[in-house]
Amino acid sequence: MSAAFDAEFCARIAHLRITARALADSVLAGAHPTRRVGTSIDFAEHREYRPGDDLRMLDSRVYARTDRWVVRRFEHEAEVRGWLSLDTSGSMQFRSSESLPSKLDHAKKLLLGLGYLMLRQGDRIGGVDMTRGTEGITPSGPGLSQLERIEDSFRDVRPGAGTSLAGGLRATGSAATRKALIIVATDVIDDPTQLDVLGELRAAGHAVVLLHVLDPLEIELDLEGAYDFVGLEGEGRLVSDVEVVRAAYLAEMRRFLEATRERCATAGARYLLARTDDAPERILAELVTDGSFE
Amino acid sequence: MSFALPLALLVGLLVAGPVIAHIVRRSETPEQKLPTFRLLERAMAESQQRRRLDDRWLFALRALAVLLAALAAAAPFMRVPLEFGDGRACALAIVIDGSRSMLARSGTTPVLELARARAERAASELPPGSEITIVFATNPPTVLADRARDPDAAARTTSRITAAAAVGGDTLASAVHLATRRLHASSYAVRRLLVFSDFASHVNTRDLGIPAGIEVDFARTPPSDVRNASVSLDSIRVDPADADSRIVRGFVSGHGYDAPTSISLDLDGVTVDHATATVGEASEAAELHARAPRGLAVARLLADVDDALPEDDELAFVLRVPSETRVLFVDGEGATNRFEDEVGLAARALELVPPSERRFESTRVDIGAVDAAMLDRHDVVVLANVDTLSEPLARELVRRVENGVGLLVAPGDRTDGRALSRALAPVLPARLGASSRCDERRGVVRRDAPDALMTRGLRDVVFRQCTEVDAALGRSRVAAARGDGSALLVLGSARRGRVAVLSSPLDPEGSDLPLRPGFIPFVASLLAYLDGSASAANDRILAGELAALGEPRLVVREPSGAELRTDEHGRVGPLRELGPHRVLRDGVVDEDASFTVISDPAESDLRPAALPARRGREGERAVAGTLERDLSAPFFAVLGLALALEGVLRERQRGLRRASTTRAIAP
Repeated sequence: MSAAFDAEFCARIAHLRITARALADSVLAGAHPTRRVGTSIDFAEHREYRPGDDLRMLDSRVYARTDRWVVRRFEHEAEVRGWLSLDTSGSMQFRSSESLPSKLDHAKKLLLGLGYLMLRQGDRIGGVDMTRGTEGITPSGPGLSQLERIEDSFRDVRPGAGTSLAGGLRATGSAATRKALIIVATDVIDDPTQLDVLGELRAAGHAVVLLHVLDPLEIELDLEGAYDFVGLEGEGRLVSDVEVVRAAYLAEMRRFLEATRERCATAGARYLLARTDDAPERILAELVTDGSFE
Repeated sequence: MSFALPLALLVGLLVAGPVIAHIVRRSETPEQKLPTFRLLERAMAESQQRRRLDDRWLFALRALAVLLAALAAAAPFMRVPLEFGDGRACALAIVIDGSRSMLARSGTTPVLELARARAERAASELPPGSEITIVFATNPPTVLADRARDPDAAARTTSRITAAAAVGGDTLASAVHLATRRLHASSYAVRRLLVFSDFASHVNTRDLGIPAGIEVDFARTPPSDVRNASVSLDSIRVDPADADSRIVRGFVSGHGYDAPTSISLDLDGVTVDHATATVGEASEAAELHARAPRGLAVARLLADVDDALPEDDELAFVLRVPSETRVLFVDGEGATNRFEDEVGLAARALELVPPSERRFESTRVDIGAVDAAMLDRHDVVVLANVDTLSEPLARELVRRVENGVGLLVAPGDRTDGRALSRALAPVLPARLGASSRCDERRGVVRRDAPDALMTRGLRDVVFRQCTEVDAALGRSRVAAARGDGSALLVLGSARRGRVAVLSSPLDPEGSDLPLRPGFIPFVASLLAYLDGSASAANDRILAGELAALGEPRLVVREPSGAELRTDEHGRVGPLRELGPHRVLRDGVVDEDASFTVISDPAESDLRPAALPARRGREGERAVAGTLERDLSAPFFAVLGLALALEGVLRERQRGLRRASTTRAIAP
């Protein structure tokens, strides 16, 4: 495994379990319990028959013993298809300090960690390099070998300047032919309005989680003095004194984060800010325990 | 632009300072990648953009300041083409023609104004240390700036050149003479003469007499259209059919017109008659009639023409019938051929003078037949080749001359100069010496006002008989001289009378003067001048000349109302105002003495004459040059401005930085 995703990290997150209640309707048999009584073979309970119940579910044995019409209910076990969608734009290469991972590495680690958890539960996962669009799709599959394939595809990414977040999301949507759990790791630097595509994914029945990956420097601009700022996606250069612009920048950043959250909320997607100075396992723990996957 | 100290431009290399500082500053600024660059851009959208702008201006101003300092230190100068000269310090004399033709228009501007502006520019462009003389060639010539050392101040004197000041008179030669005298008095090695004129046909360019060693440029300032017509008064006489009427003969001379025009006569502002007149160089006079006015009347002749010089399209004059001049020719030799002797040709010349100009009645008599009563009946006495006078006759003649009779002495081979000088000592303006044959020295006429008309006929005369004349007497004036400088015509006065000495006889043996076309006007104008009676001599006077009224303390009222007084010799002037002049004796207008000041009709001819052959080219500079104009001062001024702006911008940026920091740390 790569440095971004090593055995130690796996050990630290192994106790986590993903349950995606919202996806239960669309998945194959798997580890995701659903309240929908379906076609599973595991018996769940009996319930008094009500008009409209499927007559095939009537338990004739209980009727024979108790003279009551009850219907059988089974616990539906769903196999989730997860899509790990990684923003590989130029801006994702950024890291403000040697002690911090780049946003790309951080995002990879989070996605692969989630993928690991899902595969471990018997789910199927696929991967999407959003920069390459449909060409960057790693087909969905089960087993830990799938994790390696996705990791390999992420390792080969060539960060580009012209990544369109909306295009990458649409590529992900096109890959997910069935309802799936789509986990997107991006810095949304393009433009929050492109997140409107999330609504399309939700409308298609997918569950969407947005991991908003940002470096602490981006969030706080914790610098002193004048700097020659350089954009990572060909925006040019700008010499400025941080003291002069920090207040305005922080205000802009606040507006940016709020806009991103609002777009996600509007689309029905789960939003989570993933700072690169936060431990990935902590972020994953927050993700799987705050009910996002229930 | 050039530089006197080009090495100082190396200072400009210091401009690398701001550039390097700018680069170093940029390189010292650590590079910081920032994915949220667009957020930063938006945050800086206003304040930072302004600051970047300030930064650029600051940089530009600092670089500009260094460059300006280098340029200023290099003593920049600009070579500007000069109106005249080569930019070296020199003695420059500028002569501006003030004849009436200079009032003709070039477009809507009188050429006189164009000449004045060019003269002003030529003067102001002189380098410091130059010496400048400006002479306005009006009548008489006026020195506006006399060897001035301040070119700008000298240039300002040209503002005195106005249309009203240009009274005319062909005095260009006199003005040039005046200017060259100033140049001769200068210690400068480089001496230049610049003559601005229209060089119309009336301008005398043959007698300019410019000495060697003076660089000359003749700058022609021509009118845009030389077509011009002018109205002239031919004569005023009593109507033979009606003694109470006057016949005024006027004509319109000009060129470039093929249709007749209207000429009218105004009397005291009312048109009393009009006629049709042809326009041409030999146009026929039109006769206009007016009733004889009571008292002095001012009349005007008006020609209805549209031309380049409107000033000469009307002529105001005193409507008065002029009287005649009675001349007594005293022949000292005794005539054998009465048409070619001492006085024959002169008397004949007077008969040929058009009555419209002046009427003469001449009497010729041998010296032995002259008596006192004869002297009383004449206005002018001419002593032609008279050896001497008897004492009684001389005494009678002196007395009459002092009472107003004119006297012309024309000595010849018979004349005993010393004896005649003694006899007429109280009135003669010059002492006479021996008379002898002389070389064929051509006459060079010094044509100072008011003798211009009189001496016009003396050009290029070949003299054979010359009498020594000592004109060193205080009351004399040499009106014309020969080429060797000896006096030719000496004028003087004795109380109310005028006296002239012509140092050659009036016969063809003494000179070729009697055989030349100028003889008639010369004799006529000289004798008219000597006729001291105001009624006869001052009917029409050229502008710029003196009016000899014969009595002191007379009052002359000009058309504008200004009043002048005659001097102790009974003269007044020079008169510059055209039009009728009233003469008042004891407060009462003397109709007979009133006169009209006119401009020379010849000055209405605007057709160009050839420029003098000697140097000078039309439309070009004889000495084309440039002036090195120092530009250091403007560069230093701009440098100061740049530094001031730099300071303002720097302070503004500091303020902006402080304000931004305050906002950034505010909760």
